Amino acid sequence: MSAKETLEETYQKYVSWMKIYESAKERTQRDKNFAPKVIPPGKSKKTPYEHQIIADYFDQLYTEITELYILNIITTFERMVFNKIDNAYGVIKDIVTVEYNKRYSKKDKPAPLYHSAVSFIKVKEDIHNLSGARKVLEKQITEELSEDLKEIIEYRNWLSHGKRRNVGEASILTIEQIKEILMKIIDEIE
Amino acid sequence: MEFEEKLAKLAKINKDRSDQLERNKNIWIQEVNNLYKNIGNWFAEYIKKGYMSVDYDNLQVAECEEFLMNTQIMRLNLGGEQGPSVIFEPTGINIVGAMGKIDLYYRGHKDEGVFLLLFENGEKFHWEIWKSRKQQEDIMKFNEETLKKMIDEWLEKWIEI
Repeated sequence: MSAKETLEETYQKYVSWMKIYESAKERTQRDKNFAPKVIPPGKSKKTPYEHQIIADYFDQLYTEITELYILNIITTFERMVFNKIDNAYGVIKDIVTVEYNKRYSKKDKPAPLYHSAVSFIKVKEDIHNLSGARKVLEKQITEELSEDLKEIIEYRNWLSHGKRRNVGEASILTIEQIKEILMKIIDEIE
Repeated sequence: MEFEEKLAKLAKINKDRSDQLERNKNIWIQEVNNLYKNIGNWFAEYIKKGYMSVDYDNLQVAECEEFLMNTQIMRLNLGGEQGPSVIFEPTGINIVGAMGKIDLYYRGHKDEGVFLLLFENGEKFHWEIWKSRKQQEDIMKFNEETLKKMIDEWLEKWIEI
């Protein structure tokens, strides 16, 4: 499966979850007996405000499903990017091993540090996170995509570190926009 | 740069950052309260007639930045306390491109809500309605007219009157 197909598959799981969410929400509105089957007991007590409590619960579910899948899509993307970096390393290493050490006649001196040439190439272990990968990709993608990726990384950090101050930033990019940006980046780096 | 000079510079950077954060936090709380007050005034006549009510609720831990637990969610109840509600949920000041964000939505339909973003222009502040960061539509200023229009559209869509 290609990187784009894998990303699309992750997104389609989100779409499935949203359909399950929508149909459960709709059914609780039609059938009062259905709510206790999908909502914790404390949230589905019989009170005059029951419908409001259930609505609030579904609103929270919407936020949580969406945020979890935003994290999931970014994680999938990160895995794809690191695979590409690893593949690129293999190709670059082969080229450097063959080409850098080339001597056109026996009189030619070997290239400086030719025994260590391969160690000058970055490997995926040298790039610790997606921000590091973004720096590697900077010359490969447009400035706009690079800025969008920066925003996505900040958003991911904000979500995954408990929505705290000084750790990442929130964003109003939708999950669809995030998917679209990451797809464009994959197009650029493939 | 001398060692002491480095330390002094670092201390200044951290103090500036902390002052800025404190300033933004205070502005945010003040602007959210002003906004709630304005909305109350816009609908004062309907509230007086019993067509609408306002109440407040605490934010959920998972929904916002931790320091905002002291600010509240505002609920505009339409047609009385048990009627449908419009929710204003302030989620934080740590956001790309704006001073802060409130999620604005019709209760039970958060997936079709909008964002109220606070912007600073000199010493003045204003709110704008956004649907997403890369939206195609024009960005609307948030005021009495746009709020009434939005609530009216939501009622048309989800309630049979």
